[in-house]
Amino acid sequence: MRVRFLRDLAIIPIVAFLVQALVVRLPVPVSDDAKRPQVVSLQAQMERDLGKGHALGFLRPWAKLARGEPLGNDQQGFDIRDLAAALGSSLRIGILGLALSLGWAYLYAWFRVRTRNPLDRRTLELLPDLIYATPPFFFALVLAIPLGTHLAGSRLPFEAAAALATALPAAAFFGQVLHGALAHEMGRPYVLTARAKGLSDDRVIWRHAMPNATLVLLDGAVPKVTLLLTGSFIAERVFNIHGFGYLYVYAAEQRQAALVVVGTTVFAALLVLVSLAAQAVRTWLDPRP
Amino acid sequence: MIPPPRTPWFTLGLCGLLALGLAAGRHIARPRYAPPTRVEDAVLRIAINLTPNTLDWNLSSDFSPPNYTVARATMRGLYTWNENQDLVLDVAASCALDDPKRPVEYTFRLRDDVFWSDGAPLCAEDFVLGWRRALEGKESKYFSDIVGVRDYLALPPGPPRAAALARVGFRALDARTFQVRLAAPRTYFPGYLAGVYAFCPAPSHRLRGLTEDQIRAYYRRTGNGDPLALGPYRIREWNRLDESIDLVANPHYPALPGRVPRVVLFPSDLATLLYDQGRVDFNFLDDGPSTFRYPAERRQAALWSTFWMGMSTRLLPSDVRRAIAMALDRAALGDHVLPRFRAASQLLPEGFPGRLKDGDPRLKALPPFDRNEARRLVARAGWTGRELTLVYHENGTFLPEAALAEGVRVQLAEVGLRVRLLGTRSMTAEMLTHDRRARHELHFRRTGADFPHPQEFLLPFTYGGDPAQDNASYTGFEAGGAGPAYRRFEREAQATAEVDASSLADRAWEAQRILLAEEAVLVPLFYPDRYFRTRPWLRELTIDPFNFIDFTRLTCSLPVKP
Amino acid sequence: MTPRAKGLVGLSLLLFLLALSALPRWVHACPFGMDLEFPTRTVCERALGGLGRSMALAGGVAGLTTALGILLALAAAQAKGPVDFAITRLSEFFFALPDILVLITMAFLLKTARDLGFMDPDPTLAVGASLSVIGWAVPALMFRARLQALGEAEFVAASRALGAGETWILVRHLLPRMKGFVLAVFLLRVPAVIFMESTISFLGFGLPPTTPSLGTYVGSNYRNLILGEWRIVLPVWGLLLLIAVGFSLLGKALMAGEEA
Repeated sequence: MRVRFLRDLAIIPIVAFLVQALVVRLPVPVSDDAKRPQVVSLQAQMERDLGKGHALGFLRPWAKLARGEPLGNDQQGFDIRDLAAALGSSLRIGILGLALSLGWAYLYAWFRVRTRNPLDRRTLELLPDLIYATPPFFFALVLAIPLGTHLAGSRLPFEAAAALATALPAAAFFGQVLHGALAHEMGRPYVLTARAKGLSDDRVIWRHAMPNATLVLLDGAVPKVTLLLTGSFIAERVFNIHGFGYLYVYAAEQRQAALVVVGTTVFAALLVLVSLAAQAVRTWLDPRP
Repeated sequence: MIPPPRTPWFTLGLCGLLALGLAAGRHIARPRYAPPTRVEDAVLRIAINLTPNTLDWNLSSDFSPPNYTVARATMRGLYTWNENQDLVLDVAASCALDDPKRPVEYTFRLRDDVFWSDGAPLCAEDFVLGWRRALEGKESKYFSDIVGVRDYLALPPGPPRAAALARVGFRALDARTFQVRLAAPRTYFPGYLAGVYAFCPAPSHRLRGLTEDQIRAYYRRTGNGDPLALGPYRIREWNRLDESIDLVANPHYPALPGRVPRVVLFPSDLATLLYDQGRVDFNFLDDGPSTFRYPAERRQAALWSTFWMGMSTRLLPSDVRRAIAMALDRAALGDHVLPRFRAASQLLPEGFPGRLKDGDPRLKALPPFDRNEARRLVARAGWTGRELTLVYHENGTFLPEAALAEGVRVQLAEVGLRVRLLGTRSMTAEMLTHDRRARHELHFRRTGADFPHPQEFLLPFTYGGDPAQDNASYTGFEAGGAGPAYRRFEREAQATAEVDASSLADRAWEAQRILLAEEAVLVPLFYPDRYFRTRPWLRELTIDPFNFIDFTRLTCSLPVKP
Repeated sequence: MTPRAKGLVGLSLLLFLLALSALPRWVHACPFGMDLEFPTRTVCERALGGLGRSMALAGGVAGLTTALGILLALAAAQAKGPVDFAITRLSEFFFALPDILVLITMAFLLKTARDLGFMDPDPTLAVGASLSVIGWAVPALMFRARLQALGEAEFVAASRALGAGETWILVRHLLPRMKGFVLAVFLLRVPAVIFMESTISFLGFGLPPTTPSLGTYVGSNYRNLILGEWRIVLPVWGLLLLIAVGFSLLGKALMAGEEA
């Protein structure tokens, strides 16, 4: 367990190093192009922000951030407070989206196992397909029509809307995985035994079958918690919330190499944290060693 | 077993939820705009595509147009222009020239009633500091006409460079007298002083003695009155993450009755929706569809700008270039694309200095609209059925370039040329690639003036082949395989800067004639207008011919009478 | 619905879509009117033009990633031990990466390389390559799981008891039983690729609008959608819906047939 924990954590500096190495190793232009101001400023920026040519160069963006200096090739750039605020927005969207989609997934799986009504069954079966068949940014757009987008002031209402738009595709996916697992559990002997003992259907589902199905959800769906990150990129764009996804897109568009390196590393760290959290939940749910 | 439930609870619930959401959405979406009741409460909220990326005007680059909008609201220069777009002195009370016809030395006497937003008086030292900072910035090329600047910029950092700075030709003679000396007479130089914000002053009483990092922090941190302003507005807050800029009236700027006390700029590309929802008060109606959507509210402002199509001299023989110029029916290009379409004949736009009057006999030299002749030229060159590539900006401009490109494609098909359209997000990148690997024959470009002087429209074409001046704009695309006439054009274009005002028009015409007729390297297509709508209680909110929102005379008439 | 009926419906939907994309683009009578960005073309023309490209791109990428997936899964099953471990871990790692993030990073690298004049790939190829880089992990994991499940079947044990080598078992017994499954995975990948492409195009990192796909069409029109121009977007959405439902039905039918 401890080894696994350390191994997972080690991914973060490795990603930081690899991305920096990759970005810094972008092709160097030939001599006659060296005069072009664009290229010159790009190179200067890489040397300044990324410590091009230094062994520990990949630490430089972090050192700059720690000193409170801004990163980026604008005169102003983004400093650690900006990055923290942006990350805060994205995390709020992601966590709310995760809660909404998990809530939906449990509701969905429960309904689908319980219902005997043919119309409900048809709807439940069709719904995920309908959601999959809609490009993820549609949901955000549809919500933006009445709500408008963030301009200034409190971001929270728009973060909630973004979370809702983000949650839908993830909810469809989690719901399907959970339902598949739950249906499988419902056919297993221990469920039949519990029922035979006179427990109500709901009690059987929530007390016995659902925790076991949750383990399957953890296995199948945790890697795809990234769906939420992906979704928040799109929703941030539509709702004009300048969160981490926005910063990342901006950095890529403006070729702000240092921001790309920092952003990628932060995302990698998030993924590692999510997978560690999932392991913790698994240990808690699964009594088997 | 429990009997199966009969009611489709899930489907019903889902439908109910959807209906509820729809009803709530309709309720929220109802437009509910209420104008402010008092002048003191009035806030002008503006959503634009981009907002400034820096407040440090001396160091910023001209690639970010919104910088100009805010710079013009918060800064003043030695010159400005009045309502008729004539250059007039701004913070200077007088300007003495060494030679009234061919001046190289300008001695400005500053007004004594101009104050920074903290109350400190503007002094000559502020210009010295601002300009010295600008020499290290991205716009230093604008300073290269000043004595000593070329030498200074050519030196690497070090003691010789610091010594060269003392020989650069601008200085403060006393607290209120500022002198500039040019290497040669340049008629456009006053235009620079009015229109290029790198020439704005910096508050020396605040910045003197600060390190570069501290100066950077001064321009970064807002909220405490920094950075100081000279213009009608000062910056109250710049939220870098939301990219919003909050401007309030500058108390040390001459009072104007009814001035809107606060202006807030937000970035958004959905300004039209936000305007309909009553959340912003100004809306650029950009791209084709939205210009037609609000005919009653729509207002328009003519720009000093020309949209043209460049033709590669490297890939297209001159006959084919002439044929293309003759094949285009410019008036028809605007049908259903823009509400008002001012078809272009000359490169210099209507009302611009140096432009020939319509009906001038010299204009007969320009290629006429004649498809038969065009077809003949194409056939003679053996180019019938050949495919050309036309590159256009796919977004990021305010013009419906895709629709215009489509129009050109259809029109050139009439004379036997096939056109493939290629959208790019970065014309600069496209041009850089092109230099290495010639691969497109035609491209769209818009030239906009920053100040009224023909040089604005001609200078870009003279940069080709001179890497020192190459700011990655037109980079030899047009000049690639140009003949002696093009070289003559370069001399003409350069010469327009050196003559006195009376012969300016003749020289500008000669340069245009070579560019449009003799060498046929470009076809002017039309002079763009800017479309927008604002609330009726706002007065004098206009777009100036240089394509910036003008806040200087902005007032409001409140309360709104029913 | 029985798997057979599902398969038939899915197949006919896909055939219908193919016919639509092959439909001559000069269909001028379009119930949705003219396009807003290119006022001389109809909405139908633009949408159907995009359909063809989207399908071709998605088909290519899905085919490539499926082939890559099966090859890797076979290699893993054949080599076992550390190679199997490495391939599995790598697939899991790629599976866990946020696709959009990787695609944006690759677009960034390509753009930088292009601006520095290093290379200038065709945009369709570049997007296809980026999508393939992130797309191979899912099929590889699915195939590996399937091979493992099949490997535990009784007939394999029987064959092994009769002295068959691992390669023999793989080629003679396992591969033939994978055919339907591989096809199903391929079919399920196609709509996934189409949606991924549409999303990155919407964000502005995909295809340029002059090489229209369904995604770029919606992406470049999103302002009009927000202003209520549903007619622009509804046909595209309809097509996307048909694609997703068609491929998913056919894929599921094949999958069910496999498991039966």
